[in-house]
Amino acid sequence: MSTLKITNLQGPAASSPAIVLASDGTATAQLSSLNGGALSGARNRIINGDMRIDQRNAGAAVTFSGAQYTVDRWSCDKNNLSTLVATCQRVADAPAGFNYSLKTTITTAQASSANSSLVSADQRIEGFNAASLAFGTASASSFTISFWVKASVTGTYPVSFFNWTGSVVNRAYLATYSISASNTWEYKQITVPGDTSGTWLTDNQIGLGVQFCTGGGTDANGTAGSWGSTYKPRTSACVDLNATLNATWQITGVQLEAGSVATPFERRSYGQELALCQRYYAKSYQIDTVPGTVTRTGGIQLGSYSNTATSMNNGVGFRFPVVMRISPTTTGYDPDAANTTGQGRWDAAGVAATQGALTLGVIGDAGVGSVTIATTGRTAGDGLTVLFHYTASAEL
Amino acid sequence: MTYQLTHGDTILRLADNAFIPPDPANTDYQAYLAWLEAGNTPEPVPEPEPVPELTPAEKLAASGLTVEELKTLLGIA
Repeated sequence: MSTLKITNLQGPAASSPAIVLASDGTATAQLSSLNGGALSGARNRIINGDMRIDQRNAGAAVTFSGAQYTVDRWSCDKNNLSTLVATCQRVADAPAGFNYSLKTTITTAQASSANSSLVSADQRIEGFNAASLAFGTASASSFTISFWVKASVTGTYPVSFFNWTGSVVNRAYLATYSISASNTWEYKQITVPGDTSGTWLTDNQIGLGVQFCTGGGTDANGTAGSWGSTYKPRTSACVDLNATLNATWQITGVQLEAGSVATPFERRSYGQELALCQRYYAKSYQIDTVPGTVTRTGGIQLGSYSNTATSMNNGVGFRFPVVMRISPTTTGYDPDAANTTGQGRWDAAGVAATQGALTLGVIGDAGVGSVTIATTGRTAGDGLTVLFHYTASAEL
Repeated sequence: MTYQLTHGDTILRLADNAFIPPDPANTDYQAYLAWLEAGNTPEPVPEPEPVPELTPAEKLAASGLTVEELKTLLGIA
């Protein structure tokens, strides 16, 4: 072992040193990039990559059909598989350094996946958060996706990436990874070259889609390793997990970052991660309370009066915890009755708390401007309160 | 999937009673527009339930007056 003792490291054409070594053993460095990406902070374009946040289900299993959001920011999709039954949920099973993973379980198998069929877990990255990759330009940056994965069936699995033009997907890249040991956490990293072609949105719509497919029909088979205009989420060599009863697939620690090197998973505080998730989904319930639960805790309570006896609407509204991606689709819930959507509860002098149809309007990305509840049996002009919970979805 | 118009600017999705704002970047609103494009028509705004007509006795009770007080007021006591 030898020691090189110098004071400066400087490029031959540079006018100043890139690294200055001080006599106290420290160094000052002029870094322009780390692994081709940001120097620090916000490297990971994936939100809730460690599956910590599960506002909708609090860890409960969801039998999914179509595209259904489970843990925050992750959509589990099942299409055109009439026999197959599969669940998706956050589970407390993860490799060292993580607490949770997203788990898909095949509870009723389907021997042969039909054409146009698919089971997958997706995350669609907002254009604002993918814009710096400069896709669709000559400066397009490569990116690296890294993740921990565990499956009961060994073999080749796919992960694909795609654009959205506002109406269609017409740029896609398919990659594969291998599960070499069943029911064992394995770390994977895949570098994808930047795409210099196509339309890539850089606003609040889909900027880059990421899809982990676990089963599908043969018409979904394509060729891995290059960008193209046809979206194919699997190859013919990939495992079709749909055919195996009780098969499982789990993932966590998902990170997508600029450059060709997978760096350690970026640790964001719980509050930061939750706020990032709330841009896409927010609720008035406690964080681990499933919407539809009977509880007034955290509910919205508005006091007002009405000049009619049959409704309350005097311009009262409420705010979301963060500004959301768009004006969200918003649902009201009666806090005193389980799973009662479209209803709230009103209370007026001489009238017991009563359920009434709740109408939400003038919805913006920061809040709801108008709340109306249908009432009966009260006196026009009197005061009343309205109670309800809400969920707001601004997913991509 | 069916929808219903509301008195305000939102569209009610009847499957889950969710209110969809007319934001072009809202994927649920995009689905609604595609549904319209396919030739479908939303349910109209529901008519409010008629307020039942009060009986004379109920009107008197709501006013807080007694029969005697009303007679006095009208000068027919």
